[in-house]
Amino acid sequence: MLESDDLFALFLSESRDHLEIAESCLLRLETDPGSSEDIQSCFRALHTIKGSSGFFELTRVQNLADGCETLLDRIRSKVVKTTALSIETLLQTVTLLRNELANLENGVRASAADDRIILDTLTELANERATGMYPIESAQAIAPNILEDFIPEVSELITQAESLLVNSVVSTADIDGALRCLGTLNGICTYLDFPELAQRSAYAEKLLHDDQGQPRTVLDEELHQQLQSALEELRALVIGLARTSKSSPSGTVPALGEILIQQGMPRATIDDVVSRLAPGERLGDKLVSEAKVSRLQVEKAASHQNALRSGAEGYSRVSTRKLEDLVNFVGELVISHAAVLDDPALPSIPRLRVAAERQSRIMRDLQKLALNLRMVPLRSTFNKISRAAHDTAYKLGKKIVFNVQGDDTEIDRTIADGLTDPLLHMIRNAIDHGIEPVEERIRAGKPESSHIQLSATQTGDHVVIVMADDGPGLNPERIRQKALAQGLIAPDSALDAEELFPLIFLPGFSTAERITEISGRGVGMDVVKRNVQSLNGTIDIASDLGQGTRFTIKVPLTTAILETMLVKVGALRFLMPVGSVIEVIQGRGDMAASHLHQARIVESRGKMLPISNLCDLLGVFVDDTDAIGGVLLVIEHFNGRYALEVAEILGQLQVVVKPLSSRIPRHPGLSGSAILPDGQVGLILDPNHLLPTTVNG
Amino acid sequence: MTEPAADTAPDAAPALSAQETLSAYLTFRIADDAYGIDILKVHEIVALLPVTPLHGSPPAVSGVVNLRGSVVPVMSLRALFNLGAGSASPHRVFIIIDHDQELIGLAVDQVLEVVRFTPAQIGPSSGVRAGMNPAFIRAIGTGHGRTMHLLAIEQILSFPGAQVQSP
Repeated sequence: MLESDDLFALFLSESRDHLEIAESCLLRLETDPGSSEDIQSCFRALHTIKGSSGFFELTRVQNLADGCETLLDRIRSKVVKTTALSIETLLQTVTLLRNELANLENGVRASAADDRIILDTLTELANERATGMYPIESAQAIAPNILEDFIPEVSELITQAESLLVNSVVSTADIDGALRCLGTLNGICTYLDFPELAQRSAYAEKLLHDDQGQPRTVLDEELHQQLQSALEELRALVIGLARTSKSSPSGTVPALGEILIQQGMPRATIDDVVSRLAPGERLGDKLVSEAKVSRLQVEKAASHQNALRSGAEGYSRVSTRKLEDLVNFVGELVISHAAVLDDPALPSIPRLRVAAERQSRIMRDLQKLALNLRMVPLRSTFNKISRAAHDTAYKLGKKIVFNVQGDDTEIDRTIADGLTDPLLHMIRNAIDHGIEPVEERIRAGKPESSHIQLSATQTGDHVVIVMADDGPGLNPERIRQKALAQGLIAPDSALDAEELFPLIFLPGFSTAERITEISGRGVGMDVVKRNVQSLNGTIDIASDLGQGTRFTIKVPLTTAILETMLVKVGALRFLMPVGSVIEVIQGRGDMAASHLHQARIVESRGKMLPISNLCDLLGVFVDDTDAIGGVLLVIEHFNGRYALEVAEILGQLQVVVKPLSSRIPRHPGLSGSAILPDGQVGLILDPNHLLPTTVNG
Repeated sequence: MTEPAADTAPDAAPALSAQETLSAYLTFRIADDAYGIDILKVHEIVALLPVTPLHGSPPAVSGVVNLRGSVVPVMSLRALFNLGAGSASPHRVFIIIDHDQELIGLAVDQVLEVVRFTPAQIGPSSGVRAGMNPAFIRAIGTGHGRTMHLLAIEQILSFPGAQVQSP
């Protein structure tokens, strides 16, 4: 039994998922208002929220969900049309619901006073009479996954009604029960748009009522017969439906025939057998009886089909703490196994060595799998961006076509969360400043609607996210003037466009000619860059004047694993994220000699950079002056570069990052820790917080 | 534990009441003194592990250790109590405690035994060694031929006076 608190937490988390589904459906409906699958999914999502909120007696949630459901029902049954206004209102209600869930989670009691307006709007929209109707679609247009749930449910209701009415003497309780079954049947069929089924069940219901419209108390022989045949007709219709759904190729799970074709059966053979299938006969049986395939082959294909089916469904929620424990234990397993592999006695026992090597392969797979469990698709993050794009464009009266690609790319949950803010900022910027007003676009010979594309792809152990618009692009000349005015560049500096664009990432830099509510307050791209860098990522910009702007964000797949450089000062070892190291400069003799002087500098790629010694920064006292310097790492941090002096680079190392206790104060330049191959703890340096703040800012 | 039980059974009694079970302590030695810590706080006892210093942390924090894959901070109670480094004792161990679902190691000279104090055997702290913060001692347990300082873990882990050292 779940505790009621657990149940409630489950309700909150599931309702959030449902809202997300509803939202993404609504956003798709915006571009494709006729998509019956999206209307259905959205309806079901809100219907579920309404149902479960009723269980917890959350009247506000229930009312809001009910308002949406009513409108969506009308849209679904083609009584009213999908309009921009109805989608906007539904989206607003989804936002209200989401806020209410947050309130419930935090124990805040929010006022429902303002709900009246939105509920009235929903009702109004639901009661509007359609002028132009969508063409009525056939029942086969229903998404096959809905049909899959629908058929067993409906068959059960028919069986139940039959069993109640089968006896020659029927009690009033039996009639009541049968009426309930038929009523539900009618409801479901109306809801899912099966008019024929709905009509038959309504007819059966009518048979169970007398002339005054009261439920009958007795059934005579003739009525009994009529009812039986009505129920039989219902069943025949359902069986017919089941057949069309099974043979439909659009299902999420491929049909047995398709699998057999994939496994090498000629398509013509399958098509031939399928065309001769008698009703109720199974393809597998027929194939075996005609000796087209062996029984074993059919069973294999069927088990493959089952695997696909279960793969399409099974998810379970696991607490992140358990996942972290798992990652920790596996990491420890790998390290302790390394001790076995390194044992000098191992090579002399070949059998043991082979077994140990096999183990290490399994462990690598296990570690990969454990880390994969922390990954989530970017869908949820991208949905938020789509929503913001919609809202911003609506507010500014701009026309956009927002296109998302690769939202199924998986990434560490913390990185997915960390990307939300910078992407939100970027999409608002793009719509506010990145695209031109409609008149301007027409003058420039561009389509009225601006296209903004957000895409994600995985490349190696990184995910690349691109946001591109087809707006006017960045004007290098304007950036130069602005940078000159702010004293960011020298008047005689000859920077080309490529060098000028990154200036927009500097704090306080904004080329916007006007300040708007949406963006352009001078805080902006520098925050975006800072956010991306804190995820150990990079952001680049490319732009063609008149053609558009393209931002490319590159972030690691996971925060759990970090590519680091193992460095040494004195007897201590530290881990520096490789992504922050631009260049390594091997020490020269004079560098150590000038160690005691303040403000040492070094030249790197045409720039003079200040040198900071790691021992000095961390306050480490080392006796041996030879062991504190010798190698310079050129580090890129938030606002520029500096050279970090260490004694030695021991090598590159991929480590599993472990957080440090937040309870114990420490140097801000230490961001985390990892277990080194020898089992000791190594501390991970944070290049952005190593320097004293006065130098940093 | 506001009112002491009137008829307290001797601690050798086979059946212990809940209250008595609650006052079980793991006792240990640092320098010449015996200390006790609520047994329910103790996660495990481990031999000394290699310590990586944690820069910018309070002086009593020796650093972090690898406890079967988890990175756990460790403190030296000698340093905390201003008892000096002491000679390298062969018995030194870490008592790993579980505080607010976070593991923290305490380095002590030697672990002694688990003892049970009846409420009557626990009295207010009368005074501590010079140089030691009196807030770190919650009470004094007397019995079993010893006097033991019972630690106030919350106080010890609140790092009084400690602040993030800005470089």
